[in-house]
Amino acid sequence: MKPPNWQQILFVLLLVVFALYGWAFIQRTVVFAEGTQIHALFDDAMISMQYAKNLAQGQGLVWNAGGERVEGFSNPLWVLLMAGIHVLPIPLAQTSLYVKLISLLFLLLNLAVVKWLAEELTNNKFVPLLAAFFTAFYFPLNNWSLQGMEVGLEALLLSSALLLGVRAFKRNIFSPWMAVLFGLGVLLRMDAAAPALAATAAFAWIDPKRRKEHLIWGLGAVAFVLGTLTLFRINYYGDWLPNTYYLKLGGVSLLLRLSIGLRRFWDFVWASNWVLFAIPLTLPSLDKRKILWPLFAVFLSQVAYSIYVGGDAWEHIGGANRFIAAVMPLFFILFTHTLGYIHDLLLSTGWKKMALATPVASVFLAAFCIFSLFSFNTLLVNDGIAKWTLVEKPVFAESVERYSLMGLALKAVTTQNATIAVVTAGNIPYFSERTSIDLLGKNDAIIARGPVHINSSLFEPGSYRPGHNKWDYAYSIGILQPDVVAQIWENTDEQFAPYLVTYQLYVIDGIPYYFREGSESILWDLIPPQK
Amino acid sequence: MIKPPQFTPKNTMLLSLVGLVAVLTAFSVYSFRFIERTSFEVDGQRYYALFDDAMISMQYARNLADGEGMVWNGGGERVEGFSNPLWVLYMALFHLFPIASSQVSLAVQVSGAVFLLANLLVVWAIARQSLKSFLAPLLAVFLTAFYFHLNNWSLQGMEVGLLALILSTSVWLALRSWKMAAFSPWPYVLLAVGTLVRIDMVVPLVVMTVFFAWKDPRLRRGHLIWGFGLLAFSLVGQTTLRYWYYGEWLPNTYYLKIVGIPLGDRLQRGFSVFLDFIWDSGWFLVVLPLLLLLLWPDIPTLLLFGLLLGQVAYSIYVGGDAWEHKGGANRFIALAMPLFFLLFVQSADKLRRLLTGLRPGGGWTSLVSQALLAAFVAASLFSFNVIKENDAFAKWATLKRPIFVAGTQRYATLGLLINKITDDQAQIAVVTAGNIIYFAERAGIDMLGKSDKVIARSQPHESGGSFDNVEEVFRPGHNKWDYQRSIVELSPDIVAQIWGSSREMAPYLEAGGYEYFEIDGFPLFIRVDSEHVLWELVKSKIEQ
Repeated sequence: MKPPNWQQILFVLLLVVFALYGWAFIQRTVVFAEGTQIHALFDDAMISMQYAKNLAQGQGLVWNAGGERVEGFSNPLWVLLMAGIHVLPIPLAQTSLYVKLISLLFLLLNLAVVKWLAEELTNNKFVPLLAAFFTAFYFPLNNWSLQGMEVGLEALLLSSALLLGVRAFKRNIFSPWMAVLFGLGVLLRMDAAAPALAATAAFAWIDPKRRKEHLIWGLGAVAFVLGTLTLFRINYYGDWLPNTYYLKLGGVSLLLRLSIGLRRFWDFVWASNWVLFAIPLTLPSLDKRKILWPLFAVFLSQVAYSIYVGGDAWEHIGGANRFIAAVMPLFFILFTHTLGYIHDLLLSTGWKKMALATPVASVFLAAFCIFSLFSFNTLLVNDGIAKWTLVEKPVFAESVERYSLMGLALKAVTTQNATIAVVTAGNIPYFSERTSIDLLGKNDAIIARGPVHINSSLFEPGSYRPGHNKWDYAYSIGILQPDVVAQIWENTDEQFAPYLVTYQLYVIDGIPYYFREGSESILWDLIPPQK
Repeated sequence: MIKPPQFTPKNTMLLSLVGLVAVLTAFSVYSFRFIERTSFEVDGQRYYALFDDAMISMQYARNLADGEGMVWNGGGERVEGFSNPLWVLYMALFHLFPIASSQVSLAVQVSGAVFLLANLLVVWAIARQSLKSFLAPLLAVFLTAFYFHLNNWSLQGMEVGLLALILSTSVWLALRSWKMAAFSPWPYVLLAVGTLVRIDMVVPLVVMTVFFAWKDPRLRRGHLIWGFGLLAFSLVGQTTLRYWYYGEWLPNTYYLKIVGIPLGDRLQRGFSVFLDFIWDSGWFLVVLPLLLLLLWPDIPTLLLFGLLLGQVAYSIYVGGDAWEHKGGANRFIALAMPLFFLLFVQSADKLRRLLTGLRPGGGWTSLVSQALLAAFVAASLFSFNVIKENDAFAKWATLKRPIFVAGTQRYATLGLLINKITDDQAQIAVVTAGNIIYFAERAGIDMLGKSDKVIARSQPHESGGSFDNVEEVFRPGHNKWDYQRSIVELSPDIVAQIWGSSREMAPYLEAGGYEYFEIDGFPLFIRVDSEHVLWELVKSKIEQ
């Protein structure tokens, strides 16, 4: 047996360090409730968890147990995986831990896939390691994944599919497994159809001998999954499209969305140092092999999709949004591949005559990569570095703590029949185990189809946050009459004011709630005395 | 196939000249617009005023021109509250002419634009010496022309534009002599004149002297004699004059900024703000020229690097400048930024040649790569022009008023108000010691000590802090005050501004017999027993 070479040793070391980082990250997101540790996820992921919990408990794939069938998620495979966890005898306070651990496993696997994919594309020994290094410590990818979103699995599926495709292309054969993995990606998240189609087109273009197979399998996998999902949706939810489609795309003109999406993307690139993003653009002049095209195609298709939908709802945090984060490993491969080329090119000048040219160049390359990592991990929040290096809690962790504790507090002061109106529709319903009313409409077909409230203009996002611009208090509070209004949306105090007449403000553990006067579903005696 | 256009030396030169004229014209229009953007109206009259530190120099200049001596307060104590003597003399020239105080600053600003324009020509001349294509010199000129921070300091009245011109010209002359294998004393003479404009110019004078003494052994003696000889002459001359006139060996600003502030604290802040400057300017762009050091370290490159690093080291040594929170190059580094742009364009151009050299191709490759280089440089300008304020682009593109102007307007307007509500015997205590005193035409009390020997020699209130917050608690020249002296002992008629916490100042205001008045939106503390305040006017303004 051959002894491991230095690249293998470094890679194993990277995996170990990343695993420790991931574990420390998970520990940093622990919530303490009355002396016990509970685990919770980023609020959007907890919406999926709520669906998963109800599915596992035999209540159907719904947000409210026994409630209306509304498809308030866009990640069916992820919900099924979460439901699998809920089938096991795990307390609700710990289910999220397993989701995080599974994501950590996917991220670890993704590092291996990224390394293998880079090895297929270059002979430079540094490039695969550097690509894996950037991927390992790219905060947005880790943050979305380790806080419960499906981004880690999506990244793994996309990277793996491309690895299979690239290997098959290099061996001059056709592999249907790439299409299968892309199909799984679409099942995981419908918008993965964009990179799947882009990759299919790219392979069909660069591999004319097997163009027919690429098109049949690629288009077939996407069509099969989308068709199956649609049939299920019509049958189960009575709708052609998910509720999130109406919520996010209805009422906002395509032009406005595109302009804001462009602005969001530009802000992301600028904050991460635009020059670093420009570096891979020189690659086509350095390495003209067609095999790189599918990587460019998949990365750019996600960027285009992100622009098309107007970006994500958390762009103000900085870093890659969920759509782009999933393909950042591919960007890092292209980025490091370009760096490798430039590194070799500089060494090929007269400089190589210097005695220490190679080690000096390697040190420079390493220093450049470390600085670049800091640039890529630029966050638009205070103490950004402290947050991604885990000196402080990661972004979102504090709000997750707040919402999960709110859920537990409301569970304690209400009966099982209580209804709670919420803005953040994940943690509060999940931990309160009460029927909820989604004020922002992700789980409400009426709100999702209602008018949009935005003050945006071309290239100026203003108040535009996809999925957070529709509400109708006359319906959600006036008609549905929740027992508790746990939250109202930002800057809507005036619109909420008319409904305050029948509600009374109470503060529990420093958090304000509005309780409906006379409600029999509230355990009034348990509400702490107000100052 | 379409053939790419062929460039002969003749049409390359023509293109280059046309491009240069275009950039110079664009810069002229830009600077005109910039200056207009710094003006404002008070009571229907248009006023031009400078950045407040420049207006301190203007106050000295006016008093000098009026025969009151080179002092801050006409007939007042001799304190050297400036560090730019030749610039003060230059400003005094304008005050000899019958120009209204509302317009004198315009003359200084226009002359600043002329210095910058001349600097562009010199940058072009340097670039033509070392950059081969017609485009690269133009790009260096373009970056210099529209680098906001150099323009901002210069067009708002600081001596930075003149210093940049002196530095660039000395580099051009030095490199020209070096290429001809001859010795010229003129680079040293120019830099020595620079030390009269601002004494910090000893740094490039020393750097250039040492550099050529090292790299030009044949003419070493000439370099050393002229370089260090002029340095000694300038320093001894300045010091003698200072001791004769002010009775001091060093300027008051030295005591203010250096005394009592540990070197460690200064270096810590200096290093911290320099790193911030690099990071905010897109760190990759700033370190790109290091490629030249590694791969193509010729004499011109090393000289430019030496001079640039000298300025950076000096900036770090003094703890940076007081306005680092605005972003971009401070006054010490801004004057060397044209040299940086020369290195930046050169490194980008060499990289372009290296990359395109991979593919033996026709002229199209060269043409396209030059177009990409131009796009890269143009995009880089946006990174270099970082301003840590809202609407940064609008401010450097003059769509909005540049930074500092809102403060300038406020101080000038306050000065004019004080001129109205006091008689000419009144004394005004200020924090910003330029515009208020200049337009009030009243004796000032400088609470931050730039023009006050006692405060300048006192211990700083805060100079340390941790590495994280050192920038917040330590601002060079803004860390010394003594309310007991400035308010209770010197007893100004009006305390026009407060510095830092009003809670800290309150007991002194009470002890001094001051009451708070808000006049025309300005909060003022007026000594109630003052005989130099026109109380009837004050009351009528309050009633309005």
